[in-house]
Amino acid sequence: MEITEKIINIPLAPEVLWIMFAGVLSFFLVMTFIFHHHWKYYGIKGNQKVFARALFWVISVFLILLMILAILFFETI
Amino acid sequence: MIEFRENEHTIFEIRKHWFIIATELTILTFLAFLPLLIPQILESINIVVIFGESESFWSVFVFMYSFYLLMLWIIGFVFWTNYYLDVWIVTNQKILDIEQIGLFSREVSILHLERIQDITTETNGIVNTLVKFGDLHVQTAGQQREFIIHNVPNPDKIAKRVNEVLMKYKDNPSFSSDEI
Repeated sequence: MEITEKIINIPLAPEVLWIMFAGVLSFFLVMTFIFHHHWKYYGIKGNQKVFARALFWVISVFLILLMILAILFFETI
Repeated sequence: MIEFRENEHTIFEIRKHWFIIATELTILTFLAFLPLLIPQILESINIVVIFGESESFWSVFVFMYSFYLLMLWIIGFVFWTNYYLDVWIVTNQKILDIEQIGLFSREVSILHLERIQDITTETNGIVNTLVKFGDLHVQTAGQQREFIIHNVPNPDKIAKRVNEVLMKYKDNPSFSSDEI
């Protein structure tokens, strides 16, 4: 029996992904500011603050770079 | 920033049980893996999804998934910040009850040691009993107000420690209410 595949083509321009990226980046920057303010002024101490900051930035930057690479790849295909 | 008086020092801090934050982070971890099922589901029902003129699926999927993970990551830090900033600080003069509700609501109450009348603990439910966490109630004399910290680890032990602090510092004349 032949298996038929249904192909669904969703029209999506790279510009839409860039707009989404700009939105999430703005949200990320606002949240980063809020977190850093809270950690600094409301008493997260020494090593915990350094660790929280480092962990937050490393994973976030990795995900942001992954998003940029995915859009660039989508544009160049 | 919390500031203390000259003769004041922190004796210990009380935070919610780790089980509370672990539960929230476990749910987020589960949610993080959920979208990975999408390609398998599409394949099992013989549907091929492509995006735009490039007819690519994976680049858009990676973008959407990273987007989703970043949102979860931020939510995770909101949970952790709430957990970390929601604290009771027991000093030799008072108990500071700092309640962080979300990111934009923060309530700080001060309980002077000499006004504390009664400390009770409450543990309800199977999980709370097994993992050993519950609520700690502190009754104050002045306004007949009750302060509660929810989901503290080993509430009986903490109540005992608070009692020890009260016994040691409550009647110390150098920390009378006039000075505080």
